[in-house]
Amino acid sequence: MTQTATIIIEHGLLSERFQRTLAEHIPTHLKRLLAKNSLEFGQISVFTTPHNLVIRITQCPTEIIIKQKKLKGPSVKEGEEALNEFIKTTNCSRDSLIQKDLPHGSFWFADQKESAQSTWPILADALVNTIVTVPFHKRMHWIPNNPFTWARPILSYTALWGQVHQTLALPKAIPYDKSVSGNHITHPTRTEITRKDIEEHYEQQGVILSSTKRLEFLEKQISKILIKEQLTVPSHAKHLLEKHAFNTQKPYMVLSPIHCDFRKVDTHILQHIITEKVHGIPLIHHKTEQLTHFAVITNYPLSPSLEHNIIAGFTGVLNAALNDGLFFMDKDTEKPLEEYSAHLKKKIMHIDLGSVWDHVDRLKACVESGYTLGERTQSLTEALSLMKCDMETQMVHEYAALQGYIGHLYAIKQKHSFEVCEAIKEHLLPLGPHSPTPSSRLGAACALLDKIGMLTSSVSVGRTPTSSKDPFGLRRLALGIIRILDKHDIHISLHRIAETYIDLLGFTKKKDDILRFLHTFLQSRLAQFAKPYYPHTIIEASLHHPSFADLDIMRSLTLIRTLAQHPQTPSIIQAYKRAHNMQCKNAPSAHFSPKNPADIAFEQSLDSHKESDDLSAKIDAIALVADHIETFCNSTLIESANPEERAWRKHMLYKSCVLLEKTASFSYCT
Amino acid sequence: MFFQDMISRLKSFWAQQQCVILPSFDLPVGAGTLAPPTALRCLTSTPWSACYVQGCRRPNDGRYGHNPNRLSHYYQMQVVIQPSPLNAQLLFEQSLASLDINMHTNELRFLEDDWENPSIGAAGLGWEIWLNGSEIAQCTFFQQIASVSSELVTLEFTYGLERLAMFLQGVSSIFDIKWNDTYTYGDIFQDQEQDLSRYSFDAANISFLQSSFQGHIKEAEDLLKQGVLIPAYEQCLFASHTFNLLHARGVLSVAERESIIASIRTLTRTIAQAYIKRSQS
Repeated sequence: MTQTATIIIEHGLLSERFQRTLAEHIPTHLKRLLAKNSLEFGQISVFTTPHNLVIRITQCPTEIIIKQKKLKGPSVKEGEEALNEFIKTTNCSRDSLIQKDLPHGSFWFADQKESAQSTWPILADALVNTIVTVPFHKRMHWIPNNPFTWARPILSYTALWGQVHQTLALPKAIPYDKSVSGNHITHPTRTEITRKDIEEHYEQQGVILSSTKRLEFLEKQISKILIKEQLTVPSHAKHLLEKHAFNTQKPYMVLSPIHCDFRKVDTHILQHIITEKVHGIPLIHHKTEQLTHFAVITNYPLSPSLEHNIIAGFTGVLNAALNDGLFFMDKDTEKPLEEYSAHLKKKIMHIDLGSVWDHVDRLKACVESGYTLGERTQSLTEALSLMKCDMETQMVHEYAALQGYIGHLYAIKQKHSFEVCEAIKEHLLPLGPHSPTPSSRLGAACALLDKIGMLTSSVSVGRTPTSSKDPFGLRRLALGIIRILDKHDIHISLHRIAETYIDLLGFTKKKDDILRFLHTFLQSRLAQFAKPYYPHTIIEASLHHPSFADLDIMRSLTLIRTLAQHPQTPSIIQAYKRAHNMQCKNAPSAHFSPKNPADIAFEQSLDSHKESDDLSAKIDAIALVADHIETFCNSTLIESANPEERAWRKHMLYKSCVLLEKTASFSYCT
Repeated sequence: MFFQDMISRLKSFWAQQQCVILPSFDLPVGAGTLAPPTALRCLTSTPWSACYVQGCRRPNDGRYGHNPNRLSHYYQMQVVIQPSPLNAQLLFEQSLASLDINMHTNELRFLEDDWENPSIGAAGLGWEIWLNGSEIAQCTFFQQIASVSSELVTLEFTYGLERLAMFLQGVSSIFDIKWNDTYTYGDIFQDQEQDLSRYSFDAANISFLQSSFQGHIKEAEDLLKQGVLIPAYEQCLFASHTFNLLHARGVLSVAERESIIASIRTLTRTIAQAYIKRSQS
């Protein structure tokens, strides 16, 4: 016979992030604990709202059968007291005890008979253990000296085993009380409380239990209103709907117009202020493509007066923020962007690295040394000089996330060239693993130089990541570099740029150490970047090739891709492995004149191998070598009785491996 | 409802909840939390509830009295309850009801915003409290003060009194808030706001501020050595305000800023830890 356990917990506020943590932690942790107790069950489901947490475990057996087994007791020497304790804990009778002699002494043994134990106490323990150990990102506590570390008050709980109320050892939480609690969920005929019963119970209180259903409810309302008003949610703002679905018990949408005075404000800035300052959803008009409205998601069923007050309140806050924005922009543009560069001297990166101004100066020196990445020196230097200037504007002080964009707007106002303005806007991209990379070539060049400089300087002063922490975002920087190089197909030696930058920093003495770290670090980041798409062996073979020493990321990436896609690659690897297994590594050359036709043919084929600069042709050529290895190994006995002949053959195989390794380090595939 | 009546009603509400109603702390602070009735009393494990209005000075927020939403000197109402009650949210809603704010026609939302004040090594779990989109208060459950886990979790509510008054009176500028039936906020404070901004951004004597900062730190260290803890803490508050003025004058580089913050933090933590030790003995 099976039953369902239902736990309903009422909380203070649960944020979106924490609701996600609960949904992830509870099933995993519970499964582990129940498996430990050999408890089988149907399904574990977790539902959250900002104030409720519901856990259901279906099809649990009402009893667990404890199988018959022999239990080892205390040593006979230990006396009566130990024996009594053993009898008490194992619940067996004194008559069933037997003595057995083991090599290290005489011991008591008992036969535990098959018995049945109620499931609920095991479930209750597992549930409490799971709830109190939910990981909280700051490890705060709510009740002193208590295992709770997630800092949320549990107000009350209802624990149902079938339909019967049970108690849990949840500290300070109030157990279900019919006269007080709202969670009086019963069914007149069924013995089980179903998910539907719980959902209906909450629906009556104006709560949608499932976050997916809350999102659907919200989307339905939005699409109805948007069609009527000819508005649309910009694609980058769609994730906000999900966020609001988590943060409400039942979401309702209020549409609010943007005052016409502010419609002239740049759309990007307007969108940013709407999402940041009022947590609203920007809405764009179909025809004019102007941002004319924003939506506010509320937790309350709307009455006309509530709707009016919400619109008035949120519009007031938005207008104040926009007024501030306009004030800052007026103040900022009183002087040209270039003049802000002097302020960058005060922005210290690190005591040994100097200021942001020094960093920009070093980047310009790199450009003068010839690292223009295919761009015009003049444009690149101009973009580099201006790209950090907006850091010191009031607008960026207020809205830090707009850095780059503000500089670009002010540069347009001063009539700098289009490409320079775009480069200023894009120099911080990509911001994260899914953020876009710079679209313009000049933007890519600025972003690359900036990131290489930042990476090198951070490594130079020991700001390197550990396995779990990367406070200076070096992994993100390295990934950004790889993505930009890949997108714009830029072939450049990062090694040489980094070397120049280190010289400019004046860290010549520890140059080798810094470069060594950069080499290993970029190698591991490139491997991570390629891992989801290409076989591990091919990535390793490509990245451990001596050509990687130059840190030409694109050359290595192209090698990975070409090898992964080339039809002959598997046979090349197989032939390499075969030759390698013959223990031919470093086999010295041997004085021997082959007479066997297969030996002669193999030697001639290796001599006729031609090097090529084109990667595809190179792989075609080594595929031919691989074919010869296979033919040679199939037709010839390498371990010949003649020691000279044997040494010569091994040397030939070694030579063929060396030829293959000129393209990639296939030893990493063995 | 006039500004002064709003304050009276809130004080009366919290007095009913057994809070001690205190006068304002008389030294410059950037937030009500830093005043000793919160910052020091919460270090102890003795139950404590208090409510007070605190004038706050944030020189960098000054706008010469031209901005309708920003001030360099404004008022917070601080409520601390130690240990925190379980019905914190309900209490807050009731305090708004005491101001005749109808919860059926207005939207109240709590947005997670964990609080941290590195200068006193304090952190807490917290929420911004929005009324129709405007942040009118903050709620924090202190978890750590002086880098030591709080024995009793303290609940703190900080009301932004001007924001709340703007909502109640339906005005869009702080300076239009009616203090009573005769005076507006602007009548009383606009001149002061202009002067404070001029002082913070243009007139303050930088070398005086720098030497004064060093003086306050030195004095705090000396007092700490003698075990005179509360005056030592007060010197830290003076130093902190002087640092804010130097920052507003734009004379601090990022590195200097970091090192100054670190020096105040270390000193404050040491004082706080000594205070905890003293209260335990």
